[in-house]
Amino acid sequence: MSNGAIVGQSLPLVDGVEKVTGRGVYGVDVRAAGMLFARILRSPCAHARILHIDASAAEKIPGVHAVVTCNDLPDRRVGLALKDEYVLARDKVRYIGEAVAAVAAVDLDTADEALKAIRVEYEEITPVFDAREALREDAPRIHEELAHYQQSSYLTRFIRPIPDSNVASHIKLRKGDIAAGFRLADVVLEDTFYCPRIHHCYMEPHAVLAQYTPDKITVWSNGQRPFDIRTYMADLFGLPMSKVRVINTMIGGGFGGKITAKLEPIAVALSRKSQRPVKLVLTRQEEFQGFGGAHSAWVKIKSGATSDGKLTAREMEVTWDAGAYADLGVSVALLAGVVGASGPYRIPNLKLDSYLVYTNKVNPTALRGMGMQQVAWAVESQTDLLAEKLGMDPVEFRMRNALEEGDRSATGEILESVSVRECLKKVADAMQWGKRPKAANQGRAICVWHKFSAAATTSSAAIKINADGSVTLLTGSSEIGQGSKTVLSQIAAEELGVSLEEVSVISGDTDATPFDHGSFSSRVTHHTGNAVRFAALDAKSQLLNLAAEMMQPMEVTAEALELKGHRVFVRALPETGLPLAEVALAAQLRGKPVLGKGSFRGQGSHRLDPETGQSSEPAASEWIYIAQGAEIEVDPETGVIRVLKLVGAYDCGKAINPLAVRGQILGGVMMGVGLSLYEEMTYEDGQIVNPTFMDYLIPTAAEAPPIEVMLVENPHPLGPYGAKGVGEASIVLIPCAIGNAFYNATGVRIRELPLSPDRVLEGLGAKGQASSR
Amino acid sequence: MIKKELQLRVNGGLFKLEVFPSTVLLDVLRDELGLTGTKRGCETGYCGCCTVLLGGKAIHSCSILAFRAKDHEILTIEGLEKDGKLHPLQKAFMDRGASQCGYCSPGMILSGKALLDSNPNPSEAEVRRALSGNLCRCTGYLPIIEAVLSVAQEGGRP
Amino acid sequence: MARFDYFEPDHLDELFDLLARYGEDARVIAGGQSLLILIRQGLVRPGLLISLDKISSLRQISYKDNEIILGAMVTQSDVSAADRIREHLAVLSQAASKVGSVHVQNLGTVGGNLCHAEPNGDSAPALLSAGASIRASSSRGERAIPLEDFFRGPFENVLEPDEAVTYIHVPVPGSGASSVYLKHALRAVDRATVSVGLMMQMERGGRCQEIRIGLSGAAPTPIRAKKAEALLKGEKITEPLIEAAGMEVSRNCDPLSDAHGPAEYKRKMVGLFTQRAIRQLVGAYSAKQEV
Repeated sequence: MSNGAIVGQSLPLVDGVEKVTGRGVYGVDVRAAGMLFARILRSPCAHARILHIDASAAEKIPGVHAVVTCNDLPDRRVGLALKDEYVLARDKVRYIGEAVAAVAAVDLDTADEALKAIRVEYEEITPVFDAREALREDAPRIHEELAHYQQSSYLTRFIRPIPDSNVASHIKLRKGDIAAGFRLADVVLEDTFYCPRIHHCYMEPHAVLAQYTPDKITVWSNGQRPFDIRTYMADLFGLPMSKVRVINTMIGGGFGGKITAKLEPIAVALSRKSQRPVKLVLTRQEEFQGFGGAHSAWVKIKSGATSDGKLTAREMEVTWDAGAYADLGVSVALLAGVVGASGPYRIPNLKLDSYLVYTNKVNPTALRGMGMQQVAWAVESQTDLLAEKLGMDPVEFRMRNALEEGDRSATGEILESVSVRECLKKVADAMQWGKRPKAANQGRAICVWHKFSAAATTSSAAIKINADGSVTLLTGSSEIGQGSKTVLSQIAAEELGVSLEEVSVISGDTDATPFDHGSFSSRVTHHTGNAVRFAALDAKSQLLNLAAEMMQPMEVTAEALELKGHRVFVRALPETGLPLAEVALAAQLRGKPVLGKGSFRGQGSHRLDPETGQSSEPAASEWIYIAQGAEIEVDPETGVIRVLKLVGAYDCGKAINPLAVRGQILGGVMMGVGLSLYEEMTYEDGQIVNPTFMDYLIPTAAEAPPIEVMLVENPHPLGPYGAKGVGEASIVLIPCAIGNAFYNATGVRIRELPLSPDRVLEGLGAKGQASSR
Repeated sequence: MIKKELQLRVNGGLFKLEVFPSTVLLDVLRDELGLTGTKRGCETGYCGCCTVLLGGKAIHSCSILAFRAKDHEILTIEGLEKDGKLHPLQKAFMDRGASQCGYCSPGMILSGKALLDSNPNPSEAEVRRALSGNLCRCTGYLPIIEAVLSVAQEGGRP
Repeated sequence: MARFDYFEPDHLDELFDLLARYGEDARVIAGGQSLLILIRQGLVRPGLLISLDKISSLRQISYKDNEIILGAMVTQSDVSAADRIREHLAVLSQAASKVGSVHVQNLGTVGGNLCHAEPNGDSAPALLSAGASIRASSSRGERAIPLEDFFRGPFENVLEPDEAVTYIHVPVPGSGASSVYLKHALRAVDRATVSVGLMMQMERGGRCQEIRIGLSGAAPTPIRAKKAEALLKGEKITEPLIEAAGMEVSRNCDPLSDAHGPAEYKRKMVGLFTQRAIRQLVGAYSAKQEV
C-alpha cells in the first residue's frame, strides 16, 4: 500500500498546461501536408433499398480526388459485437443520416459541391420508428438476415438474436420462483417508465486524419479505443496489425461516444483511392445525425414486498431502442438490462427480460452509465412508491433490502467491497434525513445504485527508466479528459520514488504502446492502473537487483532495499544508498536499460446461462456503489423544477487523485441534470428535429446546481491501492433522485423524462395521474 | 469570389492576409494564422469553444466575419501567456481541476478574463452568467466557477 | 458556408446606394449573430452582405426630450450598460441583458434582433411595450413603421429589399411610468419560451392610466396584447382584473410549438407571466405610494 506521497494527492493534471494554453493538438487540429478534406453523403431515407449509386459527375468536379462507396470496401459486414452493418451502406439504408458515400477534395466547399453531384436511387420501404411497434409480428424487418449474422470475437459478448424479428438480442434471467415470490408479497406494484435518447455532446467533434500507403496505414484519431480501430482497419484493408498504426490525438471528450469507429474506415478508403492523406471532421449536426447517443428505453417493472419491508420478487421487461444497428447496445441490453437491472438489492425471485430492438433511426451506443440510468429511473422511482405503500421511510426501506458484502448478485456472483448502506447512510446524514422540516413545494429523496465495469478486459503497460532516473510510461489507454495520464503517472511515480514532474506518458499509440482494451466502462484506473503498477514493480525489481550488485562489497539483497525520493537505500540504514539516477545509468552502461512491463486482466465473463442468466463467474470486473440525494423546489405555476442541492456518496475504492475523482463525478452529475430536466433527441418520421446546440439543450454554468461530492473509499481487493472505476456512475441516479424529490414535494409521479416544465405542469394539473406518451 | 487583402491585429501582432470576404474570424485564426487554440464545437453560435476577445469583449469568433474584425485588438488563448508565465486564470484552471478534456478551456478562460477585466469582483451569479455562452460537458462547471472566483478574490490580474 | 461578397459603407448614402443596386441579392448585416447562422445553415443565400458597422451615426444612443433614439448598430451590451435607459426604460434594459449569452450581447444589435423577426426574441416585446417605431430608410426616402406593424410572419419583416432599419425611436415615458421585462426560458441563454414586456402609467388611487403589453412566444410574431390592455386601461387594478387580463392574453394568443415548449404550455405561460408582470409593477407602485 502507498504511503500517500503521490497516490491519494489532489494534483493538477499532467497535461494541464497544454489544455489551458491551447497548445494541445486535438483530432480537429491535426494536419498533414497535402491533405484532402472529406465529407459524407448521408441517406435521406429512413428505410430503403439502394438501387443505384452514380458518382461519375462528382468525380469529374475539379478538386475532387476521390469518391468512395460500398464498392470501394470489402463486401462483408462489420460491427463491434454483432456484425450487422457496413462501413458505407450496401443494398439498403436503415436510417436517415446513414453514410452512403464519401468524397475527398481540396477543400470543404468543393467536397460539399461533389456530394450534391452524387446520384443515388432509393426504393423506399416502410420504416418503423418505435421500438414497441418494431416488436410486433407484422413490423417491417430491418435486418432480414439477422439469423446469419456473425459475432465479433474481439471482446467476450453475449448476444442472443431472435431470428426473423427486429430483436438483435434478448437476454433473460430467471432466479427462484417468480410466481411464488409475488404470492408472498403483501404489496405488489406495477409500473412502466420511459427514458428518452440523449446525446453525449462531447465538445470536440469526431475527427480522423488517415494516411494510406500499400504497406502502412496511419490513422490519427480522437477515438477511445485505438487498438479496436487497429484490429478493424487491419481486417478491413488486409494488412497485418503491425502495419496499421492508430495514434490518439488529444481528445475533447468521449463519454462512450467515440468508441465506434464509423469514420476511420471511410477516411482510410478515401486516402487509398486518392493517394493523399484525408481529414474527416464532423459538423455538430452530423454528430446528432450520424451518431445516436444513448438508448431510449421502456422499462416495465413489477415488484413485490412483504409488510415488514422485504422485497420478495421483481419482474422487469426492458425494451431498448437499438436504432438501426446493434453496436454496443448488446452490452447495454446485457449489463444494464439484466445483470444490474434489479438494483443493489437482495431479491430472491427475479424474472428479467431485456430486448434490444431495431428501429429505423441512427443507432445509439455506449454512453456514460451504459444503460443504468434508464433502469434506475424505473427501479428507484418504484422503490419510493413501494416504501410509501408500505408506510416506510424510503431510506429505511432501501437499508432493509440493500446488498451486503458476500451477498450473491442477480447472476450469482459473490460480491466484494459492497458499500450500499455506507453510501446511503452518508447521504442521509449529510441531508439530515428525517430531521429537517420541509417547506411548501419542496421535496427530497435519496436513491442508491450500483455500477459495473466490463468483465474480462485487458490492459498492459511498459515503463522505461531513463539514464537520469526519469520515467517514461507507455500505455495503450486513451486520455479522454478523465485524467488517465495523470492517475497512471501518479502510480508510476509512487512506486518508483520519483516526483510526478519526472514522469512522461505516451498513450494510445498502437505501435509505441502496449495493448490496452481502451478507455471505456470506467476501467482505466482499475485495469490500466494495475498494469502500470505491475510494470513499475517490475522496473523497480530490476533497479533494486542491480543496486544490490552495485553496493558490493556490502552484503545486501534486493529485498532489503527501498526505492524512494530518487534514492535506492537499505531500508534499515537509510543513509546508505545510491542515487536512482546512478543505478539507472549503470543499467544502460551495462547493457540492460531498465524496461518494466505489467499487465492485468479484469475478472469475470459476460457469458450467462441463456435460460437462467446465472453464471459461475463474476459478471463484471468490479462493482461500485453510489447513493444520491436531491433536494428540489417546484414552481407549481410554471412547472419549473429548481434543483436546490445534489448530495452524493460515491465509492471509488481509493481516490488516487481526489481532485480528478471529484471532477469526474461533477461531470457525470451534470449530465444527469441534463437528462433529468433538459435533454431529449426528438424525432419526426425518423428525422432528428433538434440536431444543434440551439435546440438540444445541455445545461450551462447558469443551470448548475450546488453539488456536494462525498467520496467513500471501500477498497477493492483487486484494484491498485484498492481503486475502483468511478467515471460513469454519477450520472445514473440523478433523474430518479430528482423525480422522487418531485414526488415528495407534490405527490405527482411522472414516469417519463425529461421533467420539462410543460410535462411537470401537465402532471400537476392531472393531480397524481401519470402523463402518457 | 476572389480573396481580398486583410490586416488583423492578433495577440499584439499585425498580420497581412488574403482571405475570402465570407470567411469568419475563427477560420482565419485557425487556418491562416495557425492559432488552433481557438476551437469549433458547433455551427449555431452556442458552444463558445470559439471565444476570443475583441477589444476586450468576449465574442464568438464563428459569428463574426474576419473582415469586420480588422481595426480591433483580437486576443486568443495563445496571447494570454506572457514570457512563459501563465495568466492567473490559466493557473487557477489547472490547480482547481477546471480543465478535464480541455476543449472548452480556451473559451472559458477568455470569457473569465473578459469578466474580471470589466468586473474585478463579480458575484457567483455574475460569473455563471458570463460563462453561460461556453458549454462544457466534462467538469459540471463548478470547478470552473470556483477557478474564476478564486482569481477574483486574489485580485489576480497581471 | 456559401461564399458571398462583403461591403462596409461608411456613410448612409453609400449604404442606400448599394441597397438600391443590389437589394434583391444582398442582406444587411448588423451584429451578425442571427444572420451568419442562417447563412451557414443554408436558409438564406445572399450574394452580398452590406455591413452597418462602419456608419458611426448608427452606433449612437441619442437622448432627446421626448424620445430615445437607438441607432441600428447599438448592441444589446450597449443598451444594458446605458444608465439612462435603465432609469427610464427598465423593460428595454432588462431585455437586453437577457438576450442569449454575453457573447451574443456584445455583438448582437437591437436593430438586428428586430429585423430577425423571431417569434420568441427579446427586443421586440420590450420595445412593443415602450411604443417604439422603426425608421426604415432607403435611397427613396424614409418611413416610420410602428413596431407592431413591422412583423409579417415568423422571421419575416416588412422591409423592402432596398431598405434598411437605421434608427429605432422610443418615446420617453411619462414621469410616473414604470416598466418590466419578464422572460420565461428553459436555460439562461435560450430564446424565450414566452416573454412579456410591460409598461404602465399608474395614477393616484391605483388606476391604470396607460398600459402597453408586448409578448413573445404568444404568436407567430411578437405582438401587443391589445385586448388585455383594453381591460386594464382606465381601471383600478385589482387582483381579479389582473387574472382577467391574464386569461384574455391566453385566450387571444396563437403560439407555435417548438423545442422550448408546446403551444398549450406557452398559452398558459403567456397569461401567467402577464399577470406576474402587472403584479410586480403594481406592487412597486403601491410600495412607493406608502413611502
